[in-house]
Amino acid sequence: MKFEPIARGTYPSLVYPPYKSTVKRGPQQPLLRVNAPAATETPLGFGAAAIQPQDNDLTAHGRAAPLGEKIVVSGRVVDEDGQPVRDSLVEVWQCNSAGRYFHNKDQHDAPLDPNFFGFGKFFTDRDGRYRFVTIKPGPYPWGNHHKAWRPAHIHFSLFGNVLAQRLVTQMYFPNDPLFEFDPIYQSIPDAAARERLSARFSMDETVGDQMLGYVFDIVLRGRGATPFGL
Amino acid sequence: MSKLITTTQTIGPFPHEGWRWAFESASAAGEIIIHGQVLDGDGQPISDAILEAWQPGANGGPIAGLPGLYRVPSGDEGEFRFALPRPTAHGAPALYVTLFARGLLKHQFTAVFLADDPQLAQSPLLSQVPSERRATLIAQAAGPGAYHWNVRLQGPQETVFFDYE
Repeated sequence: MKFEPIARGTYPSLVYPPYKSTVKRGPQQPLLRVNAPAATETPLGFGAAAIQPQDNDLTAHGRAAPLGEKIVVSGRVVDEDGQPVRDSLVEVWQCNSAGRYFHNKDQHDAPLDPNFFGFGKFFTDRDGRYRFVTIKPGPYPWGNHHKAWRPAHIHFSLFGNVLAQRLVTQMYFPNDPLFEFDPIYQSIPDAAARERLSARFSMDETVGDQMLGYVFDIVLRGRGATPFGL
Repeated sequence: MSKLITTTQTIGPFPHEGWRWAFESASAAGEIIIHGQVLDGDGQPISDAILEAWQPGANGGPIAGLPGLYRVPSGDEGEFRFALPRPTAHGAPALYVTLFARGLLKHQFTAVFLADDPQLAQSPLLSQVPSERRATLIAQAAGPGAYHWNVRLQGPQETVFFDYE
């Protein structure tokens, strides 16, 4: 079985002039479909040594609690056949509640938080589920155009179980008024594909008086009729 | 197929702190070095790319828990450098490479072969690439144990990027 081509309009337009830096960086040749079993069948074989305790709690790395709204984000990673993507590495990174990244090239005039660095990692479990605790990131300006502000987002990097499943994306928060103005979000032609990047609020995942819960389910590439996933 | 796929977004300019735990040291030693630059459509260096390279089946590697994986950020001149064991499989890529960058809305899959691989002409993967574009995937010898390979995102020598079927 093969990884089927992804429906047109699902992936962003690689050259999307409203996002200026795509103009000279977006590849222009069509992707070359190739058969490469190493990329589609050979397990990545990543192991638990990649993860340290508290890598899944972005609020636990300072001397005190970080500023902002503490949230818990959870979800399930499956492939296109609905099979769980098990024991696979996920990385997340984000700005702080004021919209500032802990990064030496971020010049946004918003405060750093000495108790928040904004990155974490974890493995999915046997059912493809993940969960991490963080601070709700703020929107921030990015200079692409006049009044260019990014909707609040958390970056996700997923390895899946084979190379062809690799995914880097961004999780947004529901009903953000900045969506319609954001060329990174709008570079995705298909409205339903854009909307799948929004987490949903969940009272079930909300933890008592501590933190609101958001659910972000993720679908990686898969092949028809793989009964146990990859 | 019952589920609709999650689409991609750029890594943006600020992934480094979160990805740093898995960066290969720029001074890492290896039996071979593959080095080059990431270049845009004007031939200008891309200084905020990250390259990930994977050698299938490797037991070890520079990063705990990630056998065969090499991850490096590009530098101010778009430069990158992988230090790795000499590949033992002929006719296969030395590395399967995934490229990420600000302004690149979907990561791109490619691969790099060594020019002195004795079975290059019989490579099952390279033979699927139109002959006039194969050179974009071949690192040329550049001194003892060193190979040079540029990644070009656009232009007449645009690197071949794959969709794995």
